[in-house]
Amino acid sequence: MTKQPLPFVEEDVSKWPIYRLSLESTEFGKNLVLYVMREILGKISQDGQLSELLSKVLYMEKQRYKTMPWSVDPADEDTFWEGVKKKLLHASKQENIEGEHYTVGELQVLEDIVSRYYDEISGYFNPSTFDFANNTVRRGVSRLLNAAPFRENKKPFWDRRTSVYNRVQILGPVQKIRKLAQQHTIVVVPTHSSNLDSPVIGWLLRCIGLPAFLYGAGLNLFNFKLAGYFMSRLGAYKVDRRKKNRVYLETLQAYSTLTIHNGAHSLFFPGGTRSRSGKVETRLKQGLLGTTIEAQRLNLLNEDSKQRKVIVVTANLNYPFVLEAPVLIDQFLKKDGKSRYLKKSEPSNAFIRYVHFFYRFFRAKGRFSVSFGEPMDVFGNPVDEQGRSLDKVNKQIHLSDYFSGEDGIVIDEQRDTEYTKELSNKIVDQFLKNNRIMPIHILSKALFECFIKKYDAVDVYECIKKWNVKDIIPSADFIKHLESVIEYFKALEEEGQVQLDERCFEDIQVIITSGLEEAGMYHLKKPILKSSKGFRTENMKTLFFYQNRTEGYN
Amino acid sequence: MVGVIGGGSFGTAIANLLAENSEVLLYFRRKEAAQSAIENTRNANQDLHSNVHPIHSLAQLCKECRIIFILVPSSNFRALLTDARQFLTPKHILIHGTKGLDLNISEEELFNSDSIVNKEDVFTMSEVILQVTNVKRIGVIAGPNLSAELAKKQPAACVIASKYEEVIREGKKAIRSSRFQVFESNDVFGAEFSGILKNIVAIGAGVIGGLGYGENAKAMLITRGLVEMIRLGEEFGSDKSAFLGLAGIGDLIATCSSPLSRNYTVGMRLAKGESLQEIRENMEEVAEGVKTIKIIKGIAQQLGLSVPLISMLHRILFEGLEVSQGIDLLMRFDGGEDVDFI
Repeated sequence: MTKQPLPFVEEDVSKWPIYRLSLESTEFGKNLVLYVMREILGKISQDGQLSELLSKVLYMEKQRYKTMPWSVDPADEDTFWEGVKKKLLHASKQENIEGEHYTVGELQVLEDIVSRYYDEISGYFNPSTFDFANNTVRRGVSRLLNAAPFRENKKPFWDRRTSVYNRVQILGPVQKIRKLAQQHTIVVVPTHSSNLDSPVIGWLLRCIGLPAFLYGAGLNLFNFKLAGYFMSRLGAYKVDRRKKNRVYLETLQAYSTLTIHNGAHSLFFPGGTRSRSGKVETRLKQGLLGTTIEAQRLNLLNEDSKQRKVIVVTANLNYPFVLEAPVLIDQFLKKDGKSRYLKKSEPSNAFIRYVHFFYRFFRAKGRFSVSFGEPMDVFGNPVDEQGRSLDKVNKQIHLSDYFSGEDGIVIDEQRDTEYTKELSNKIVDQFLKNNRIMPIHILSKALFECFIKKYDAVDVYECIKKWNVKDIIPSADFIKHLESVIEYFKALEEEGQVQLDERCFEDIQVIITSGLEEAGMYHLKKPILKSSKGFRTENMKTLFFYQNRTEGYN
Repeated sequence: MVGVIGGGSFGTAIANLLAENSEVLLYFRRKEAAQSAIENTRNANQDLHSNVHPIHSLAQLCKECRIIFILVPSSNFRALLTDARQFLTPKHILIHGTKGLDLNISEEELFNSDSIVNKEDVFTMSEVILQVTNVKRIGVIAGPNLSAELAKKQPAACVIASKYEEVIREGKKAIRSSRFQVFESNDVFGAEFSGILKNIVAIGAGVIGGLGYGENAKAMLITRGLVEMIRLGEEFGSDKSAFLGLAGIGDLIATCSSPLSRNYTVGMRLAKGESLQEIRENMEEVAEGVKTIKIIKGIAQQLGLSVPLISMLHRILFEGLEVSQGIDLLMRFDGGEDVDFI
């Protein structure tokens, strides 16, 4: 465990790819617009197709800004899109460009739209803002950590001696990742449980001394002006989930592809959203993942970037508890169970919950961990410290072969779609393997299964229906089942299928105590409680959420 | 240049088909066999097309051919790929036509062991390719392709199945001709599994034929055999549609109707009173269906699946049941619904 951040692998910020990209953003933007236009026009094979596409974009955008306006939307939305409408009408009267299926006017409209999207999406990197944020967060977190024990240890608020690094376990091949980051482009793909994941992973990457990463942040977060100010200068690019038209999606994917191709380390959550069920995500979004493969192909086509690999690194964020667990599991059960799920209304006050959470989180002595996975290339092959891809018998593989046809590298989207699915499978394998089961998960599984048996329930919905908050599982029954659950996970750990927190190897009473501490750390309604007669839960759904972290193994 | 690995009758027939479109390197494991094929311009009772060039070098084959068809028995498949692995890269396209399963124990152990085979220890050929080599672009060629009829240049068709459109496209371009139609599928597992299971039904058809029963009994066997194949296939994750095409019912009809089929021959010989051991002693190669019966019966038992035809054949092959008693048992099975899988 590191006691302080590792030095940056490259101390000179001016050499960071993300900073270079910021300096060259105008040129980059021009190239991106051309790239997107080529992609779209390459698929136009009939007269009227481009016009139809642009009309659809216009319609969808008008619906979007009229029915779902956000404060971060530019003031000139209506002016711009009305302008597009007029231009399209004018363009429809023009002749097609010779040899093509579209007019000059349609081409111009496409360029205007792509340029507008690029301006909205692109993020920047400002080294001064980075320094400021870096120091502020580091000091702020240390202060908060000291604030909590303040009452116990009587340390002053301004005391800097308690280290935040005591609360974090950073596992995995950190030195290898640092080495690779010097010559190659790292794409980190973390698991996603909480809204806190973004700042946490950003902070963790800083801890291991990696340069700033480009990352996709929901455009809605920029509604908060202060957060938006910082994020847009720290490498965040904006992703508007309201926009589902093809031109936007192509522009967004092109942004990811070309920034990675230009060497900017990137970060995105391949699950797309927080895990509602609490399970390790096994169904990943293919869109952004596919950009890593496309970026690798582009690297191979250019003399400058030929030797630069795109390296995928998974990151399992392993928390003993998730702030949003009750809300997330509720959403999951509603969608999954449909009519079988009878929701009981619960009071909710989001602001107070976050305040309460930060206080309790930093007051608690609990720890969380991140498990970085073994770095791999975009085809899932492990790489050595120099970035060489190795096959099953440690022979080097040349990535150009994956893209090759009879006469060299060939564009084939369908082939690359299949490669993306396989990369996705490799990421899921690593997510499951590096999932760190903690005492709270083991206890939750044992208790949940005891309740299923008690109610003779076929599923969680029946369990929730039959559950009464006063119902208790006698200690002897619970402990007996807990022992079998522990043995089961120890066997999985020995096979290398999962990771177990070291406390899971202790005496059973230690495991129970640790699990109860973790369960009692935050939630107002505790998922697990112990009384003199046995074990019970104050929230069956949250209990189910935590036990779900143990799912996905044979 | 296209490559073929497999100097048997099917490999030779496919090589001749491919040769109508391009130069073909036909790989033989044994140098003498390659030499003989060169000298005689003939192999496996077939004349070799002038574009077919027998060779003995995997290195040469893999260097000169990006597209390679693999047509060897399942028992040799993994070993062959292990030898070829060093020459194969992700650039290659491998299309296999092997209708069997890979298991990590020898046939001897399999046939003599009473222990049940675990599903986790059994692999299809495309899984073996992925496990052993760096090749990703994999396809399957399947369908009613009896090599003797292909050798006579009779019209036929196959399906090429792959997740990659490129593999289907290149495979089709390589082998399609005026007498050989190629259909397409993305269901690799379905194409493989239906080819694997039909061998079992073919043994049953051979038994029926050997007992002197006629078309009624054969039709009953083929139809109910197909139902068992579909049910099993679905349990293993296949889509039922694969069984209703060339790789399933197409191949089933051809194999169950042909005394030239090895699997059919095993069934006939069982019906005539020979034991499995006697059959193995004087058959150059055991039919794939025998091994498949042993494997699938074990897995079905583990999963609690009802497989009446496979169970009956297993008892005849491995448990000493008389053939007539086996048929009798099958006829006593409760009919139930005819078509419940659509």
